[in-house]
Amino acid sequence: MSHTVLVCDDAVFMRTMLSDILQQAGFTIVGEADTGTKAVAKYKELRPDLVTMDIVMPDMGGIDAVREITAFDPAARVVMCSAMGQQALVVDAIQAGAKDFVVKPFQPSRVLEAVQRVLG
Amino acid sequence: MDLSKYVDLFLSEGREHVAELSGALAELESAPASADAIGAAFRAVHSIKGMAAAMGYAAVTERADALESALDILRRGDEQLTPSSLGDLIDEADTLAREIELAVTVPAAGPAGAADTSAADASASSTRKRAAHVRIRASRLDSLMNLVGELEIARGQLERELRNVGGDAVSSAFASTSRLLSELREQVIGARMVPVGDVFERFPRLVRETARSLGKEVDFTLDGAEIEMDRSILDRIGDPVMHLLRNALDHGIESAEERASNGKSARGRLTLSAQREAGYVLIRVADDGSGIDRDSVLARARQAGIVGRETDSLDDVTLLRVLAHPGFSTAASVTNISGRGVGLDVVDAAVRLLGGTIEIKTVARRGTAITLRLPLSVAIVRALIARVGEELFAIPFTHVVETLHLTPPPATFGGAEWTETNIGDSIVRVVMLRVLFGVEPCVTERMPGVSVLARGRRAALIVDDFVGQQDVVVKRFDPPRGGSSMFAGATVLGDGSPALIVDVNSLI
Repeated sequence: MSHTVLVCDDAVFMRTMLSDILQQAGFTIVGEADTGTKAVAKYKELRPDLVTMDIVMPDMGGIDAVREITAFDPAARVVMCSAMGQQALVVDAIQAGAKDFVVKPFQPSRVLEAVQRVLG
Repeated sequence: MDLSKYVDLFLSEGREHVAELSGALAELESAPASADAIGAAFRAVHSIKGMAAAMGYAAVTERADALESALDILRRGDEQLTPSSLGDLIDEADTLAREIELAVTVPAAGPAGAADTSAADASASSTRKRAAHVRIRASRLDSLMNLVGELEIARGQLERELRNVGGDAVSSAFASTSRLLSELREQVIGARMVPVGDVFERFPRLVRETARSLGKEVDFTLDGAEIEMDRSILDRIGDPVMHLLRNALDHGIESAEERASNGKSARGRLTLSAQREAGYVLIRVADDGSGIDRDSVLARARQAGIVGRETDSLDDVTLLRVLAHPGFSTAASVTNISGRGVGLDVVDAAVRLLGGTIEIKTVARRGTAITLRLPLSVAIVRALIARVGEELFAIPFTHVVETLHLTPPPATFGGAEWTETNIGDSIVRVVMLRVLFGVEPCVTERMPGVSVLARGRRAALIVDDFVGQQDVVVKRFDPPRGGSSMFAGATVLGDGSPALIVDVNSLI
């Protein structure tokens, strides 16, 4: 059975591109979220195997969302996907419970590598 | 990875983010400290950056990255937003919007490692399109302009030397060199020219937002957006023009009720126009509002000692002089709109610094028009060369009306720097440049002078004699500390001798 993924990013464009990369690699996209608040709610609802999380989102940012998700489920597997310039937040993200960090622009191979390692 | 299928999505969502960004920046106009608006602007730009990077649109990514950094500084509270930095952000946002549109019309290679053969084909076929525009640093154009200026000077020296040599072959070679140099100069000046619309296109939105915040109904027209002028001049008149527009909206155009009671249409009219006239560009801000209240300006001016008690009415020229007086403001209460901006004195100073002049026409209950007359290029101006004592001075043609000979009025025989006299039916200031420049006075019955016009006022500058006229390359220098200089810069003439460029505005 393929792994399920929740894709969180405020840009449709990014969600589409990420979903494409993951689907082509055999993952099932079970949900998408465009704010941190929705990401937390969807996680609780869908319990996906994996979450990709943008950092800069309206309403609630990605790092706070990761914190809430890992508080809810310490075993949650979250990969941060954010644009360059946010590398300084890697430490914050990891402390919040993220398992890996991919910097946009994505190279499909790098995304899949991170995802597979996290699911490892 | 084939990126072409994401182009439409990139464009449509990119446009949405641009709209969000514009909305947030417009909100910052009225609430400069709004953390929500700064946050929204930051997120929009950040999203654009991420998307552009994914698509491999380097120009968009760079623009967005720079804008994001600027917004991040505000977001962290490291700096406060000022009207001028907001203006810069709006400019940057406009450029970003254009870059987005441009990026999708020119297929680019994907990000490293993601390009496939179809992207490579696309980029090969677009090479011709891309070659149509090359981005050049402004500093490089400045260096080119400087070199052309130096060439002009060298040409002048060569011309002098050749007079003693003669020979048909030499003079014909020199003539064609001169012609080519003129063409080169035109081209280099041309390369610096951009349509005024590049800077003015943000004004319609600004006017709309401002009018809304004032509760006024205004139809705004922008004319002549295609008129081109030197980028460095254009960049520096953005703020002054914005100020004039705000003034017109705030103080000029009346509320709908007031307009109705005066028999005017409820909606005010505000026009910003650009127009070429000989070697100049005229930028005009005109409204059909209440006009400037001369009586109240006069009262304030008397109070402030800007005009004497004997002045019992203000003509357009004096009115401008009063309004441009540093610190003078007619606002009964300092409003949010123009109170926080620069005054007309700052507009006047900015225009003068660029070698331009400002004119005002106002009719009670009919409206006000303020015209900025600006040179096409800051780098080269056509000037009249005059001798005063041992020195040569350049008087920019922007201001020259005519040359004349006149009998200096009696007061000047006593060594006065200037005096006033009647020429025809108007009172004209007569300035003795010798006295002003600290050369021993020498007054004769009939002296050569040049009639000039600046800030709507006529004056006659008395010189020793005229040497000729030529295009001079302006080398600017900073005015002396604490005072305005009588000179707008210096230049080197054809024979290699230096000449100061007279700042006519400062003499009037």
